[in-house]
Amino acid sequence: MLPTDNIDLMYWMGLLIGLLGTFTGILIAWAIYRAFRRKAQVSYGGLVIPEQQFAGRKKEIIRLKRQILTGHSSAIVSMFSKDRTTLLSYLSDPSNSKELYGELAENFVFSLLDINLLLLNNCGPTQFWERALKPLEEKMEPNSPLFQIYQACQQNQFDEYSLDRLIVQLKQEGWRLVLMLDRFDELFNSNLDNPAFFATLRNLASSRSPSSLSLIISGNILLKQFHEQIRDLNPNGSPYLNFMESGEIVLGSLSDSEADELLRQMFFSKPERQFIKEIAGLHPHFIQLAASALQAAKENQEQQPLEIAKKDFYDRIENMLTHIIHSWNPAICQAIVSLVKENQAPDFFNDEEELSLLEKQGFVMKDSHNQWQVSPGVLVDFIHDKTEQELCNH
Amino acid sequence: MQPLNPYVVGNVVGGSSAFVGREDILREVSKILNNPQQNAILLHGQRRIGKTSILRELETQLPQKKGHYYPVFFDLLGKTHHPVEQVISELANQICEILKKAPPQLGDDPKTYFQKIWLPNLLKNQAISLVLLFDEFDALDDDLAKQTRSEFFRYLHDLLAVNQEQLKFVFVIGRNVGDLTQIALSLFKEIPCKQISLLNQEDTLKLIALADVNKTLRWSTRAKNKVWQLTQGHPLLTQLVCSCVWEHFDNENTKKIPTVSPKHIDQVMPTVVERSQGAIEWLWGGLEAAQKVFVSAVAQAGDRTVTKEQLNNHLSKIGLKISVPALAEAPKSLEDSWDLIKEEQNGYRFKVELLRRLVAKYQPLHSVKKSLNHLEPEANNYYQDAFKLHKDNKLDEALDGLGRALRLNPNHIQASELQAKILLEQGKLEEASNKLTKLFEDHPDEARPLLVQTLWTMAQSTKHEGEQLKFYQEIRQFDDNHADAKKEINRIWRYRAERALRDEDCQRAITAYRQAGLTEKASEIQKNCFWDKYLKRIVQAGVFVVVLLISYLVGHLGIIYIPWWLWGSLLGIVIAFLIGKISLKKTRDEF
Repeated sequence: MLPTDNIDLMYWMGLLIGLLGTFTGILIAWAIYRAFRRKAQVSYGGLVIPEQQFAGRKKEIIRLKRQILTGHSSAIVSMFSKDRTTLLSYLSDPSNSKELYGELAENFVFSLLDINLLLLNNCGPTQFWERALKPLEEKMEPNSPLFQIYQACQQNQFDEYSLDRLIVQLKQEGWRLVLMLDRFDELFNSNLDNPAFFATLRNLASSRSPSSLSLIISGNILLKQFHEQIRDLNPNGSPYLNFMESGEIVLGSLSDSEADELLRQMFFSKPERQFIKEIAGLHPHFIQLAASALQAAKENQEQQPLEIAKKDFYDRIENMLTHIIHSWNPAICQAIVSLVKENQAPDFFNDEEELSLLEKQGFVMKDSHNQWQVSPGVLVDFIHDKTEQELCNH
Repeated sequence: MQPLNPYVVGNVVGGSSAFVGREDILREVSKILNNPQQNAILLHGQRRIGKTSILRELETQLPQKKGHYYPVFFDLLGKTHHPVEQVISELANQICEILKKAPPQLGDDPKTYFQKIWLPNLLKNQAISLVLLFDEFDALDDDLAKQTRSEFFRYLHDLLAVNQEQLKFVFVIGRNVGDLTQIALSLFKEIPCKQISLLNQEDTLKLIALADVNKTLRWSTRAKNKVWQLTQGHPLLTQLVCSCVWEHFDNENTKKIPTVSPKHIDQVMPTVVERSQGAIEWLWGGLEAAQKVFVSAVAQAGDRTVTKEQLNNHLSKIGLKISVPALAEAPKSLEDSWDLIKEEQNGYRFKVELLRRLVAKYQPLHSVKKSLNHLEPEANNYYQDAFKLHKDNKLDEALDGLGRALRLNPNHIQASELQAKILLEQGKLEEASNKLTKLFEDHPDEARPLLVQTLWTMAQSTKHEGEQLKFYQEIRQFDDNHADAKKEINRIWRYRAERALRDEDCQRAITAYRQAGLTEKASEIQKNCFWDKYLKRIVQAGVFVVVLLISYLVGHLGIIYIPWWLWGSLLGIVIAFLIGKISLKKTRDEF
């Protein structure tokens, strides 16, 4: 038998080792948890999305994925062309296909065109379709029925009738062409800005279900504004792109809790999160820029990181803000300037619709008294630094 | 394989499993196909109600029916400015494609060759019936392409007579037949029309159950009824609600098939309303001005039948009465042609509750004011003419025109504004002010700038300070933030206060300083005035005492002492007076 003292010692040693083990286990679990989070990927709806590229845009990606899977069309609206282009590239990247579209990925052919580049090359409808169908052509078996129809399309200079036959054949063979047109709003006053071109796009993309042509356009204007701009081309018929109105996706601002969650994932403390939201508002694009400015200030061990980050953020986006404000119509610009400088919108301004769009984009929000307020602090500072003439008379 | 959303929002559903119902329309088309005496039908309905889907369904169904039907779907959107020859060539190509024939050579005069030779021969040599399905027919009815339009419509008129038994036509338009131009109307004069409307309840429930069929959702009866209650069979909105519910469950990644209950529909309503914003645009774009005002007023009244009296109350908030002729006619057209409103129990209500919610959210009554100018087109024409006359400085003639415009449509805001502007330019300030004050009662935002300008001019043109003050105060009543008027009011009151001080009227000065917003100064004067007032009382008391003493002395001491007493009392009064004066001067100097 062991002496009582030894039993006590072993008892306490065992307890100590047990406690140490538990503590080590917790440490290991915590380290693993941190390591996984540092991978900066978030799973949503069964899909893993690169968080750095698409912070706060998970829902939109899932929606676009669904639209493509079901042969629907969509319009992506954002004031930042980089956001739109990155999103289109991600959706059309073959390395993401399997994960995004499952087994159906093999049947999808993606074609991504930048309208701006097409216009630089002075492309008309024939050249447009030639380029749009290039990825499809590359996949066709020579002498297959699809290839023969494609050749007929070429001979007929890609008229609507031939293109329709091609889309029907695609459907019969189980293919789907996902045609992505970046900077679609730059079509105005170009060779492609004509009724026949728009009507062909509409007819090919919308007249069958599920459609073998899924059209994804992106630009800086809403479909409603697009239709207003081309109203003269088609005063009596259906608006060309009204079939994709319910698939319109505005890459706008996040809710307060979403923004908080996003910043929490970047390991910012509560006061830092609050600071970033104050200066950047709720648009993820601004949030990311402000967050990286603060991160840099912290890494440089600045004595007043918040002040430095605020200045750095301002300098980074000054040109961007100029560009954004210049893209607003003078009335909305004056209203925003008045909101900042006089704390109220001018009497003549009652365009709630425009303000709602700006709210979606994260530039204004309603306060507890239901009054409009300009939301990102950086925009307020920027407007204070300029005269109304500099901002709105351009 | 991942489950797919069976609901189709936006794309055409004809020829797919998502197409349900429409037996009534398909039956009407069949009647025409089977009738050797008739060979055309016109289908019409509001935008996004499913017209193209019906044509595509016909395209799928007809080849399976007895009668050797060959449907040819032909979309006219985008062809408005094409020469007729090009349209005919494309149509001939499409017919050949369907019949699996080589494309025709229509020669130098394709129109004549197609109509007189190629088409009759084609039909004569084959026991078939061609069914031409013309989509977006009203796109051709464009004033900018008058020449092409007349030529094409005349050509179609002749084509209708080529072979009534073997050549059939189905035309589809996205507006009311009555809204077509005269030339288009003459084409459809003897053609039967059929309106494409909402789906019935049975078909709507079938549509909702698409997810039951592909085993991705289970719809409870209450949930289905809730969708029916909201959409009343509007195909696009039904698909949208169901699609949003489907996505809601897809986000949750549940393993077993989820059951939809009414609460899930409530949960997705904000998304539905947001995604339907576009749906309201097409609807709104097609409505006349009076219809917009009427629809917006009924929507604002809520999910219930609105009596005419309640409607009048809503309309009167924006200065309108239902007795305006165009407004009185609106309900009938909205019920007959637009399927939007139904009349019941001496009132009106929306047919589709979801559409009502969308109108109430996106087109509230206060925002449809701009429609008021277009209630009477003739009145608007008078206004346009008057606008040009005003630009040419023909003010009296412009006023005549505006008078006519306002007699026809008293709600024409721009006409009222221009009328007041011209009166202002002519120097008829009071008349302009009266008109604008009246306009302000119903349309404050529109009347305010000009009314303020008129009152300002009136204030500047008078020298009478009281009148100026009255005008400036009126300006403040209409525009509380008018800084210049506020400055002028303060200036006048300050001037009045100073004048009152000069007149030694302390009370008036205090009141005036208060009106000028100088409350601190008013308090200071009040303090000083208290002492002033006190000294006055002393003086009064002194006088009283002196009088008493004189009376006493005269009675008891004898006449010899009177001058001394008199002198003493007078000195007292003078000192009191001087003290009072010094105190007032001190107060004045401080200003």
